[in-house]
Amino acid sequence: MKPSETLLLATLAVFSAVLLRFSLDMPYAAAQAFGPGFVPLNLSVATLVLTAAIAGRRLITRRHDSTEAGQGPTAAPPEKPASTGHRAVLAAMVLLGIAVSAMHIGGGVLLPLTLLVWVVSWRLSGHGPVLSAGVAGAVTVCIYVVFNLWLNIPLT
Amino acid sequence: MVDMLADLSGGFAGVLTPENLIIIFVAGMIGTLVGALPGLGPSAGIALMLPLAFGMPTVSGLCLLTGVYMGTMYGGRITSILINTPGDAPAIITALEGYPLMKQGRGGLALGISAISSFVGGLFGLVVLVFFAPMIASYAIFLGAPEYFLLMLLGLSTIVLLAGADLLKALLTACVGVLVSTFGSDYISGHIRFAFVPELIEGIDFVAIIIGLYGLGEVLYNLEHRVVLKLGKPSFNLREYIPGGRDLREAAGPTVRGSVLGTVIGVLPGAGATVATFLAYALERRLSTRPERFGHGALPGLAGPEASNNASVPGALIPLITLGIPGSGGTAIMLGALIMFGLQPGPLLMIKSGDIVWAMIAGLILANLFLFLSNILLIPVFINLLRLIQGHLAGVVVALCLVGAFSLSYNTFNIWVALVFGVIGYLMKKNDYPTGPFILAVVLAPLAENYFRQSIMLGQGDWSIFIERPIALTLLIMILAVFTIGIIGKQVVRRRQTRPH
Repeated sequence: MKPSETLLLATLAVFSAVLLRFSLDMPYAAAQAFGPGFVPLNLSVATLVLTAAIAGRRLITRRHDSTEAGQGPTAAPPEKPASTGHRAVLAAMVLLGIAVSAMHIGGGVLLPLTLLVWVVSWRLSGHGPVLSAGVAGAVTVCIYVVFNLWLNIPLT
Repeated sequence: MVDMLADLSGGFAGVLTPENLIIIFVAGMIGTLVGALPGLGPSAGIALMLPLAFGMPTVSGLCLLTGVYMGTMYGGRITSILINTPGDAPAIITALEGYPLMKQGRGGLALGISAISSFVGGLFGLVVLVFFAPMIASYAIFLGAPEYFLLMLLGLSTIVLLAGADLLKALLTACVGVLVSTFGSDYISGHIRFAFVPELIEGIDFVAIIIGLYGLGEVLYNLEHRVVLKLGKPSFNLREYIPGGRDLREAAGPTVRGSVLGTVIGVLPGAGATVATFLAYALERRLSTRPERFGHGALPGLAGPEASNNASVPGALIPLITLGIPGSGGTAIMLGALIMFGLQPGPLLMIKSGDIVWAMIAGLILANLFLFLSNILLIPVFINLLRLIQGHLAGVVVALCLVGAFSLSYNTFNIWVALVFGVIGYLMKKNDYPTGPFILAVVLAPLAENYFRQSIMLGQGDWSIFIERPIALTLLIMILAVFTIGIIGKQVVRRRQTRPH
């Protein structure tokens, strides 16, 4: 199983386990009707079962493949070093997190957004810093005119 | 029927003034722009225009609002096809088939086919609205909670058809979608579920989820794989954008089927357009001789749902005009507008204020025509705009997604939601987990849950309520048929693939 799939399945399993725990505190059913806990409880159990089934199927497939290849059943595929692509995705996630935090703390959207577009265009899309600044400026002006001036959405 | 045509011609007489024609055209263009912006849909578009409409004569004001409503339906497809960022739930299928076409350099064709299908769907819905509105509405009121629950379940059952190669993965994403939809107030008991922060009391806005899952998820995936669009240099050669006879023939059948489905399902209050687009997509995939093309830019998968999406607009207006029941967020605001203009929505609306209603319907017909022509003519502009910014798409899409998520409630909470679902969307795309079942569950599960619990209460704990009512039983049989056909179809395809040549 790829590390990214393991991460996805683990996230979904933790998510459904947390909801399962909290749905136990909700009424499951009343005399002639179902309560608010009915759907979350059943669906979180189903999610956990499906997550386990997919993970189990992956493990069986891998064991089967490695047995056919003449290796030991527990042999794991060699870990690949993190590629440039992975680093770009991680950098983008961190940048997005920093930008949204800045919006949250500062109260304004436009300045962090401009800086974010500039950095994404320069460092991740591979354009020059001056061209990226121009793109960030143009995008910000368009967004300001449409959202802030026309639609009255308070971006500043 | 002759009476109705006479009433409609009276409506046209009221609308065909230079001022009204300009209003309808401008409203359509504004609606197209608002619909194209991520995070803003018909409700936002109509709400934005309400203060402006208030100062106008009644007919002009209603033309403005319906023009914007229709325009948002046209606009929703633009960002779906060009940057894989649907603005609302019905546009998801458009992104599913339109965006792969755009990546193949056939974005102009996708926009052209979707505009034609939208026009035909809208026109079909309007014809039904003109001639059969009272009859359809009288049938719609016979549907109760059990029928609505089973209709939502029918929509959810298309998960089997949207599943792709791996049904387990589709079921997992659908279950997670249902869980996500349970956050916030429970409408039956008033219980607040999983409100870990105060913003979650109202639940998670599905538009923020769509923005993250499709828009941000796609950006992250493209960054990892260094995807560079090669759309060529800007060009205004019209041949590039006009669909050929073969493409039109391929899209004709799906457009007609989607129009019928969209009108019929659009009448039903709730998630009419969403259910209609997913059912239209499932139907086309089922009928296709090459279902493996779906998800990779299949024209029937684009044309059918687009037609059903626009056909659902007049469909949703049928219960509003004839019964005073709004079927969607957009029509709920329209209801407010009718009251604002001093009209009395309900069964007497057509009798007391028939001239105004017919003028509004005439305005809708004109808006549909204007929108079709303007959208066809604007295709080169959209495509060339994308060609111009293709190298900077990551930054532009990120900016649009963040501002779109912010505009949902004017705070950063929805941006965080979009960000979280952006990462989940990226992981799902990377590992071939289908997003369609997830988003379908997020949209339909709350309605299905409410109708299900209401049905059980109605039946006093007895489940036979789902088989005792004829319409409910018919829907139940249809759900079983979808499941059976879907699963058997997958087995047949798998056997064909594993059979040695």
